[in-house]
Amino acid sequence: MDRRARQRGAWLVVAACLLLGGLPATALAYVTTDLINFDLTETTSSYGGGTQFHISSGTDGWVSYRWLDVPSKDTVISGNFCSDLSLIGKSSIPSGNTAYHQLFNGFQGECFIVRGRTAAGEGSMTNYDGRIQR
Amino acid sequence: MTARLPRLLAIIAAAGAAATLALSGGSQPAAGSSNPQQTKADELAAAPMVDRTAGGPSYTAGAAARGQADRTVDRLPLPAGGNFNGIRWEEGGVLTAAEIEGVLEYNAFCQWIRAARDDADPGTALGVLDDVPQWPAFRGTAEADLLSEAVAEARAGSGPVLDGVRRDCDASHGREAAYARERGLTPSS
Repeated sequence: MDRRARQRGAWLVVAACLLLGGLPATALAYVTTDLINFDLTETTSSYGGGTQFHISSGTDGWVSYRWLDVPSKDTVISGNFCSDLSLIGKSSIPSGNTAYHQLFNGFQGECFIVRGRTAAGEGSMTNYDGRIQR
Repeated sequence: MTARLPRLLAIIAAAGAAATLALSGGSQPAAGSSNPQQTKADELAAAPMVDRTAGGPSYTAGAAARGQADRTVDRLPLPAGGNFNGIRWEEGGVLTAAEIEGVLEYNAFCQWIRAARDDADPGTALGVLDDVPQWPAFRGTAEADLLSEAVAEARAGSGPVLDGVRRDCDASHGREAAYARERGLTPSS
């Protein structure tokens, strides 16, 4: 291999490194599920009659929730273990907020149900849709 | 003759293993099983699906939810030393009968997943676990697929889904034992 060929090879290696380094990191394989008509009162209740979810493979383990409809009340949303109902994590979401809120960090295969309530004194909130990212 | 001996021994060993598998429940529960836990598991698999959209009574007090659970538990198979004393019904807010059934069934699944690993003879546990995806709270749901994967991996001895489920179930067992003791109840083994 002559000097020119070696230089060309070196440039190719540099270009490949720059290209690979510049690529975005592998996307996390979150699964989302829409929670239709997640009706809340001031007493904690579960979505979908206690519908059970599992954390998907290929994620960082974070489970997050957002309202799809603009919520009219302050709400508290939580994740609770399927097996014994104990609280895993929760988030308070102000009225009008439709951003994702992290509920808890877990691991692939962990089973949870989604529970929620409106803040004290807020009354009930019905026919609002939300989304869980897991 | 000397060369054939190892092969003969291997055949005898294989036959012995097959007989052991058959005695311990095998891959499918035998119809009309004499094992009461397997019978309960089979009966649950044939029971009507839980309708999570149905109305029906809600239980707002922990004692009422625990009472409803206690009325249900006899239908559920459990390994020796198992119980549901550590479930936090008292922290549940509003619970429907469907939710209570779902929590009980998942809790029983967890106890059998641990038994399949910890019991000297895991045959009974694996036989019961085969039925779990068909139980009323899981049948026809997306979660049934994951439970089926976990059960298949339990039969194979390992797997990524099983790892997560076991970790979940082990952690739950620790919490349940603490909560049961706190309430003066016998923790599950």
